[in-house]
Amino acid sequence: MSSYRAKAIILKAYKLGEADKIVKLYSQKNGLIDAVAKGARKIKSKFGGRLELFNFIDLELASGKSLDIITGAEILKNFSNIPLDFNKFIFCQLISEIVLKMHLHTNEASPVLFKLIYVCFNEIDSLPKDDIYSQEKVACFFIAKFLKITGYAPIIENCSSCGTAIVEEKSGKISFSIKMGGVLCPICSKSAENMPDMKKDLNLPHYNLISDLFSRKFKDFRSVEFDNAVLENVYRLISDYFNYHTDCHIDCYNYLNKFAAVVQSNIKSNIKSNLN
Amino acid sequence: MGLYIKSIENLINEFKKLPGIGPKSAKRIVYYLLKVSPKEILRFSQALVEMKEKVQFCKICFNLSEDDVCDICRDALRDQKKICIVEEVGDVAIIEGTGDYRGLYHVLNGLLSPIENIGPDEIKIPQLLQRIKNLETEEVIIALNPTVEGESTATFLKNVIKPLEIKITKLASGLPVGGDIEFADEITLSRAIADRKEM
Repeated sequence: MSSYRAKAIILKAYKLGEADKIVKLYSQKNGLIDAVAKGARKIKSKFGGRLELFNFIDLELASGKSLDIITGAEILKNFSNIPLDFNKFIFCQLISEIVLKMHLHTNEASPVLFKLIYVCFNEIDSLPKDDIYSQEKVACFFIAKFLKITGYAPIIENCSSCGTAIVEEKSGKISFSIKMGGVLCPICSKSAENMPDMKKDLNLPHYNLISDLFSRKFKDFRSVEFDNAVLENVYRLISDYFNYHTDCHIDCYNYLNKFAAVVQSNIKSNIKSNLN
Repeated sequence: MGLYIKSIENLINEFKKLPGIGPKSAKRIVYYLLKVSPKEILRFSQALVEMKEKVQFCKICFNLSEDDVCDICRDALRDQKKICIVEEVGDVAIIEGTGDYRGLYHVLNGLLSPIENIGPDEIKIPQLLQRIKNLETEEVIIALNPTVEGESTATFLKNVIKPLEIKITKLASGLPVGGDIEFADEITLSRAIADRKEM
């Protein structure tokens, strides 16, 4: 049984047997790792709070048949503010579930994806409590960048049907087709006119935000200012796009609305009534 | 023909479904049961059926009970102004075992997990709020596991109970009795420091 070390973020943890815990991690050098921590749920376990959800830890593992066995763990970073705000927990759980449900190949490392998960968790952790729109902004950024890393990103600069460069229509609208996988030029947009589910018309602020989401690095994106209503619409569009093109079956937008809205219902309903 | 006689194989398969029992343990149990007298087997099977038929969830606190309302909820001598919220029915027995708590309970039978579609309705939060209002509760004790999922659910509970303007407390977390500080992890130790008590 060979042993190895890994620096990883805990994406999911659940009970196994009487006192064990199964932990699903995303590591810097080994990609997804499924491991078991024996006796981790006992009050006097040597792991203590080290194997808690969303922790960034330094692990020592022994390779096993189906699950590796965690023999030691040290905390590198604990995102302690996440459980103190239910919405933060919701967004971090969403990020974890997207990574796990994409069925990425185990042992196939993607340092870029690792960095993306870490940056998003860190940002959500450090955001002010109950600032749901900033949290939504991070989640939206994660979904966009995740689509890009996994090769599902929409085509933004050129028409996704004929390839011509995109120019703004006289009406100030730009068509976006979820099914076609990106924006449409005026000619292709006209041919899809009678198929409402084939295209959505975007205003310039919406288009710019989508463009920023897919092109900017996080430190640049953080400073981008936009209206909350624009973010809400773009988040919905990206979620629909994500749901259509991947086989994750996670309806990110409705998921958020069903749960996060319970606490933040007043803020959300105010924004929605302003939109209508 | 398989490795075992059909009736034995069926029973092994049934035992294998139980938590913590693998094929070898299942086989061992079945071979043990073969040696047991028919009278004892009958008692064992009757106990199983009786348990399934009689045990139900208490209509008030969702603890296990043989009647509509459990013994704890019926006990008028208990402190009716305190409700302790726990995750599983097993946690009630653990807290009762301390003998230090004489209030009421509310069993959630799970924790909030949006991704698994477990929302406030699934873990009986509306019923809890109704109870708090009806009983004019003075204190709610949140006794959920100190995990991220448990604490997120506790945060959610705090947010929904707070408008009712009652005292909300949470079980302390820190060093386990008999443990060594040397082996405590940073999170546990920092909580122990934060929640230290004046002597």
